[in-house]
Amino acid sequence: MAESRPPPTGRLRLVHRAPADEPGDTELCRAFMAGDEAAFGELIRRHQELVFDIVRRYTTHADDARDLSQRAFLKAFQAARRALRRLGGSGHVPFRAWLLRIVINLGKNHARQERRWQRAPVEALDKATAGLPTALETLEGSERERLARAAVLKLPKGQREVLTLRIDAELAFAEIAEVLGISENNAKVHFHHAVKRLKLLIGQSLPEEPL
Amino acid sequence: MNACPEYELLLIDRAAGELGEADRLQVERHLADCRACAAEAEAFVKVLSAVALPPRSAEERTALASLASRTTSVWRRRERISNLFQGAAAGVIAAAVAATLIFVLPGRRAAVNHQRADPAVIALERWASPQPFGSDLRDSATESMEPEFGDEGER
Repeated sequence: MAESRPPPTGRLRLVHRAPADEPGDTELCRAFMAGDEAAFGELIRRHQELVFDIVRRYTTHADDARDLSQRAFLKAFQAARRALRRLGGSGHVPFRAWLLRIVINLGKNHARQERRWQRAPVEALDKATAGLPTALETLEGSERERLARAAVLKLPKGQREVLTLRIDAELAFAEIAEVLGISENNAKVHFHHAVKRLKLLIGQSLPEEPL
Repeated sequence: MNACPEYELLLIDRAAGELGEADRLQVERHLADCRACAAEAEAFVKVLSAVALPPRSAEERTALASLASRTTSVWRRRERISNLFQGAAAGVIAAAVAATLIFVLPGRRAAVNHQRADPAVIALERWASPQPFGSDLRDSATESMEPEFGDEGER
């Protein structure tokens, strides 16, 4: 039942790239390398919400999210600068795809480290006392949120990456495929598996009435 | 009661807002008749709603607002440090080159000169030349044939 269709207008909003009349990411990188500091700021502003929302999936503190986002931009620009120096004047770099790839890797590493730290008894105690609920609804809501968050991070790597880019970054499957270096169909398959698995993991804990 | 297997993926796409118009109409018609698929469709919507991130908190909005300026200033700082290191490295290399020129090369030149001043080496070099005694003979002949002005005047 596959068919050609317009971009989805359902629950998920797609994030579009820069309009054609604006300078591309490569031009902004080149301008910054030539000494135009405003170009770097523009490059960050163009992608910061996207990057920040992906990072939020893997972090629990706003400061951590900002630091990881910052590191991702710095790494992506360093990579772009190296590539542009190597390619010379006419080269093009897929800055956005590299940036998203870096964000996912940094986020994954951060989540792994955070889980490791949370095994320490003192940290666990701090977390438990700091999160005391003020009402039963708050407790249930935060518990559901925690379960959902944990379930996403438990997904196999490919499924988690596709789900994060689709749900958090709201990218189209074509761009997800480009970022992850897989086919669009493969990205969709990962997404379907991820949703089915999440339904098994957290389906029981969801409330009966619609959210 | 299980949902219809042929509709499972379409129900996920529906929950994600990925269905095209024709598929959407077909699925909605099916859901009106199939209670199992309707329940499954609702479950998928709930799952995707549950895993969606909550709206950004005030703290996160503040962090996001400062991201561009902070990142730019960190980049500037790193570049300055990197330039300083490069300058220092260039200075160290220049000093090493200067030290080499000052201390090592004169020693080698002196050693070479010393080797050349050795009489045995000089004799060997002269012997190996095309006219080993040519210049000496010419000089001595010239000297002997030239009049000695001082002597002539006296005679």
